[in-house]
Amino acid sequence: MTATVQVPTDEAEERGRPTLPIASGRETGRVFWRLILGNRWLAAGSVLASIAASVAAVLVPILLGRVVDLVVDQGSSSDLVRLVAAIAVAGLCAGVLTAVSRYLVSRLGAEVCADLREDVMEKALRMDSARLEAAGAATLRPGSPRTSIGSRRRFASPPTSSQPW
Amino acid sequence: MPVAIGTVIDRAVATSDLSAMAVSVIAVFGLFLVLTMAWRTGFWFLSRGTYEEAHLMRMEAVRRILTGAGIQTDRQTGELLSITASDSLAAAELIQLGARAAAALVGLAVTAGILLRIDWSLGLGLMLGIPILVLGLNALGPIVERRTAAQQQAAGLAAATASDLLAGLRPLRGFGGVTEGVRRYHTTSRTSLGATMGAMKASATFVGASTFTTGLLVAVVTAFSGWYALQGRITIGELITIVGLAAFLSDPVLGLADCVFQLAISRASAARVAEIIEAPPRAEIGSEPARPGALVLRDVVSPGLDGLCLEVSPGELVGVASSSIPAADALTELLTGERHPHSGSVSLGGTDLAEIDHGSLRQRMLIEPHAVHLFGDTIGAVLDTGEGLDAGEGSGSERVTAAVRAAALGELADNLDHELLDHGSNLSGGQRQRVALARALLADRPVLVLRDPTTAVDAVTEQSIAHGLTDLRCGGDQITVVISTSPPLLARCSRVVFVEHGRVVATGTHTELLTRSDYAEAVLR
Repeated sequence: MTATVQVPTDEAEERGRPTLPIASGRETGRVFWRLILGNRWLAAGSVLASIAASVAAVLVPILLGRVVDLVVDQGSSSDLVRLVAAIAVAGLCAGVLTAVSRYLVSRLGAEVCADLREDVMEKALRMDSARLEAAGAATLRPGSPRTSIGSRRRFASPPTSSQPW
Repeated sequence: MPVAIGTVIDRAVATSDLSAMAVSVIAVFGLFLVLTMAWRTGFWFLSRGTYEEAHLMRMEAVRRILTGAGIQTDRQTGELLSITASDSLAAAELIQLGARAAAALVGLAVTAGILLRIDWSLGLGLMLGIPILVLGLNALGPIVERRTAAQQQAAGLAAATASDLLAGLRPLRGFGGVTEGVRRYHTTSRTSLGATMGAMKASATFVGASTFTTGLLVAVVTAFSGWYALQGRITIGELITIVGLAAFLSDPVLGLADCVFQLAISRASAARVAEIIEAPPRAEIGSEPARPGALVLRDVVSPGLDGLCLEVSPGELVGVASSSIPAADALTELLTGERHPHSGSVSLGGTDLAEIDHGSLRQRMLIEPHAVHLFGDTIGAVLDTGEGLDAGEGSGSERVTAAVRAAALGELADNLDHELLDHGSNLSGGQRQRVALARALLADRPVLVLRDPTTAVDAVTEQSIAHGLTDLRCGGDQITVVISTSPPLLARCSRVVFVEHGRVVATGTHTELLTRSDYAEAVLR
């Protein structure tokens, strides 16, 4: 699997120092999908686990609403205990599923990053050296921690949905 | 927010008062507006603080690595790069953690206060329960920190391999090592991936545990407040406020837990940045100013040298010839200060080199090593060592012309704006060597030490450089030492010192020394 990032760019040469060509959005998307498909089971697993974790997290406020209804209707205390137990179970499920989904999503991110940086490195080592040096070898340091760690973090922490109240 | 909604339910919904409802809706809207604006302003301040701090830390680390005697470190260049680039940012995120932890604590305090007013037993329970939960999660911190440190280390190694391979790309292609290079990078990349997995497992467990404890907290609070509401001890509005606050509590509690987790990451990074900033200098830095005078090596013993004595007085141009590479290396490194003699002394103007302040020493003495490093995008930028080329000004451009002619830069000097690729890689070896020589001559230091300055140029150019160099450096009381086995260069030196078996075995002019068979063999290869 080789990530081909080749798109002819005319503007690059105009800006004094030549730069490496920048792939179009479509090209980037294609490479992205190829990388994801390379890890399809991991990708599917992380999507499923994330959905399940969200469902478990949403269950908690729904059950809290039930508790309010119960109090308004002056229900029995055994019903209250059942609801509270359900809340605790939903919390447990949310915890386990969040851990699993977090692990799978970050693992997917790390695998994809590793595949990508190895592809880029291989490509760089085999590309025309004058061109690479013209752009400055430093622009192309795929193992550069900022790139790998940065992407890992972005994968690892989706924006946390803050509680509406 | 939960308080406001609880109040709205008690005052407006429960009483079905339309005007109260309208006021409530506007009030809730205003509250949201304040929340958003406060978040936005806070984010701006924190980001700015973080990036400025990271910049300061980066500059400090780079200054420590580059200036003075440098630092003692076992880390590879790539690792130093990753530390200055990414660890300084991660360490600076500590600022955000402080602000976030403070915000979370204030949120908790207000919540606890409100809960205490509604029902003291619930408030007290939460105030005791939450610290226990956070402390429990805190215990997981060191595990995450250890894993993260391992991961950062592995990421640094991968970066180091990548930068080594890219830097040596041409030779790598030359001997057909690309496939092996790709294989090695693959191996380090996978090691890095393995370490990342470890860190991720730890962080996922941590997040899961904190989500679960929050759920448990909500369940317990709901059980008690639901029970009290059924008994009529608290109103429906208060129940909603309490349950809402319990759900809201997850935010500051998770926030605190996340702070603990991020603290582990930041600390691992900060430790690495601190290691660079606090690293001992590679050599002791002296404080004496550099004084004019002779360059003297007395009975120096060091690997490659065995009791070397050498004295170069101002105005002299001395050649040091030796067939032994360790001896030449030892001499170069002793003068640059990378190495200290086991015994004996190296001094300039009567002061031991180790006692001279580095800035002052660099102003007086320049050592041009054999390995050429060119910095800058054009020939002009490479030649400029910080004092400016002053092109156009009479004296400035004359200096440039003289240095450029002495180094036989020839065709390259016609256009100082000639563009260079990364580290001058579009120049030939000989051109690079000549540019470096011109740079050294242009810096015009009272003491100049050149190590094999003409190994990569042809015989005609070598002859021309020998003439240019000696003409430029022979006037006044400048000291010039040429460590070389090049006959044209040595022939132009006022005195040649022949070093064999780590000590001076003969002194004289090149022609005089040529009568010795061992000298002739060393220089006429």
